[in-house]
Amino acid sequence: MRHKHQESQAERPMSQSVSIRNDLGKSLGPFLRKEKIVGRKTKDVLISVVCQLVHHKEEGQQLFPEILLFDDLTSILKSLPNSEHVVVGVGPMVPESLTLALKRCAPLAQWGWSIYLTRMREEEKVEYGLLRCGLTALSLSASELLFHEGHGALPAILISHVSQSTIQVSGAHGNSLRIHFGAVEEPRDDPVKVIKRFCASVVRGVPIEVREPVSNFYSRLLSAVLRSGHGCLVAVLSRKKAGVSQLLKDGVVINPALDVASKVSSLLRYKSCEYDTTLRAAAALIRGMLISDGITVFGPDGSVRVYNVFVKIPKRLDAIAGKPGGARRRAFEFLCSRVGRELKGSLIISQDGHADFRGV
Amino acid sequence: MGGQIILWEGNTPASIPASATSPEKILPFANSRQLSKRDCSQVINAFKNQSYEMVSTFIWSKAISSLKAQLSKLGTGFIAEMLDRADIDEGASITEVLTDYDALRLAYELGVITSTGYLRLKHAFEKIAHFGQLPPEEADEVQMSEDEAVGVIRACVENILGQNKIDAAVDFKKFRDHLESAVFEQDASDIKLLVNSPYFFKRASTRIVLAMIKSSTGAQLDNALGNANVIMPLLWPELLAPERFQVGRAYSEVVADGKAQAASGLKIILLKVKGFDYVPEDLRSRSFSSIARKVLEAHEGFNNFHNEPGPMKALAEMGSVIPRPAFPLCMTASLCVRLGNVYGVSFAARPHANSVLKRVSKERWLFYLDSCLRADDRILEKLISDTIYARWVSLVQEFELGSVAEDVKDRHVRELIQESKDASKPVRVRQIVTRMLMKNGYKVSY
Repeated sequence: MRHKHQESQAERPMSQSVSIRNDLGKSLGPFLRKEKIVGRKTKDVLISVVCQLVHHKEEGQQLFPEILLFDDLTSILKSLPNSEHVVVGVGPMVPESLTLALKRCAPLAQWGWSIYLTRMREEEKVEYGLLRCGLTALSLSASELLFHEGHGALPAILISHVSQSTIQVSGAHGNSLRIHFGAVEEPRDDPVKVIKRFCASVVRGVPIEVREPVSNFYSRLLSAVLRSGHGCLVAVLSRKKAGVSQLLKDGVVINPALDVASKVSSLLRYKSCEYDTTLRAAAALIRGMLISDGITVFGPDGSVRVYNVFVKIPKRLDAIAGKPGGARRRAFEFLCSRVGRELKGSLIISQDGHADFRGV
Repeated sequence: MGGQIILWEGNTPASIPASATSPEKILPFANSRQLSKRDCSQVINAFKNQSYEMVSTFIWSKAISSLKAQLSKLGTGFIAEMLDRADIDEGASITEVLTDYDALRLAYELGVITSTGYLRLKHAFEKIAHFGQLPPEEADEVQMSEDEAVGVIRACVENILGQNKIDAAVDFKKFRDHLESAVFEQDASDIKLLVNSPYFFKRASTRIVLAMIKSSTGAQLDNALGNANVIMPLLWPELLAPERFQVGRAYSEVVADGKAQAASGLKIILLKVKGFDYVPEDLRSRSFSSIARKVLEAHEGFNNFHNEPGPMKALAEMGSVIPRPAFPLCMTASLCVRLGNVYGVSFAARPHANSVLKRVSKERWLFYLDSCLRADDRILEKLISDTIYARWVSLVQEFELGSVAEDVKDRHVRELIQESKDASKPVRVRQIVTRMLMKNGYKVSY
């Protein structure tokens, strides 16, 4: 009997434990080397943060904080004009400290605030808190300054929750690593870069002196939509006509159009709180439109013309109707078929963090 | 500037013979597009009626309006940066925001007028401002003399109204165009010239580059950033605190305006020169600078004794500690009020200036003397006058600057303070100041 039992145990397959930590460690090693950041503990901290961040919820609600990791808080703050920071706590360099840091800081990391973790090397401790920089809705954020416009002389790592199941780790040297936790196939393009391409297209008709700030404004807005996991569909008209083509008329027409470029221009010119508030209010409105059902339509001058538009795919376009994916994806394919005619481009952001832009 | 290498020189003034000593002989040299025949005949008639102040004021306003109109063509942003005036926004009218004194300084810095022309026009302006602010009872007794009026007319016609077209110096325009259209090599001849030039050109070049970075886009911005990357590290060791703060503030402004490319370029430069200490931490310094500007506007404008107390009081009441980025300008403004001009001081404004100066710690005095005074042309120019020199000596004594000066690194500044401990060496002090001004690129005569 005993022999039989031993025999059956040997035949039974061994249970195997698979952890994402191993794969993550393999990818983060080269990433950190390229970023010229050394120390085994840094890798462990990074793995812990990434793993905790992806599922971090507060009162059942998922949060999307940005986390900055660096060594020298003083130098970093000096390079961020008009910055302020709030120290929340100090703890030993162990995963428990990071859990506590995330628990305490994540609900506060919104409206421009980012979580920071800084190593206190001599004491093997980590200080955590929140920091922000900038004066108006147009100001470059801490992450934009440290990473998009980064420089190796100020080493830092940004961990951001770019969509519901994707964490992006970026470094000041310009390297980045996207980590997907979802079941979906890996997106081919970096959604943040796709959004930037779309923004460049939307602002092409905007006066050159405000083109860059308007592009940054939309880029920030769409990145927020991407993080919120709502998804959206956007079309850009090709001609600066007063009306909207028949195709996109089935929606809420905003009359007069929401002229973001002129609001940005006024803020840059007068630098007053009044214009800043107006621009922030416009941002809130446009964000609401983007996460509403249907398509949001932009003019070639960067204005917002219509939202909540639904298109009916004509029967003759059976190929599109039969394509896999949801209604939003099919509508996107249809809009793409109109690019070069009444449309200049179209952007889709799906709930799973996939972004696609087609146009010029 | 004898024997010194310079990047650009002022335009040649209209050649009026020394023998021309009356409006009838000077005014024919005025350009008819700037001063009509009717204006000329009215000026001559008024002069004959001994209305010297009226004539001088009229000619001055014609000349300065013409100068401001020409300067405004360079663009508001450019002018604001050249004057280090963050308070001038893009939509402002240059003729309204630019004071007469600022217009003269700028015209000189851009080579619109020569250093001699600048000196003569400045003297003319001082005369007009002085006679314009006399109370009625005194004005009847002390009138502008014929010679003084002729001096004003001559300076205005020679340097502004006699010009076919008032424009920046050709060399200056070439230099500026090059900064926008191509990137200089580190060993380019213009860069070598710049490095060996007086401070004035280094300051002007820094401001030109910053103005371009803030206002350009596309390829022009690429070139401006490329040139800043070549020029700034070379100039940085010699740049004084006010200019370093200007670079830091430019970075802060482009970040605030969301101009990512410009911010990225300036950040690289600041990293290269280790200049992040000069980036303002917050907006407080802007408020201080803005009030200090108002003090200077009042001090350098008409009726200054009456207009100085308001803004000076506001500056004194703003807070006990002046933020570092605004400190150089606040010191210049307070010292201007405390030292006054050749005609006296504003007795109502002086106590407020004293109140600001009394709160300046020894360390801050040392910072001002070491890192600002050497290029503070406004204050240095004042010290050439005997009457202002006497007030300067009393300031040096009151604030015991002699002991502070022992730690000053700059030899000229140290000497200036040591020789100002008592009023016994006016000639020596004037020589030191003259040397300092000439080193900065200014022509001096007294």
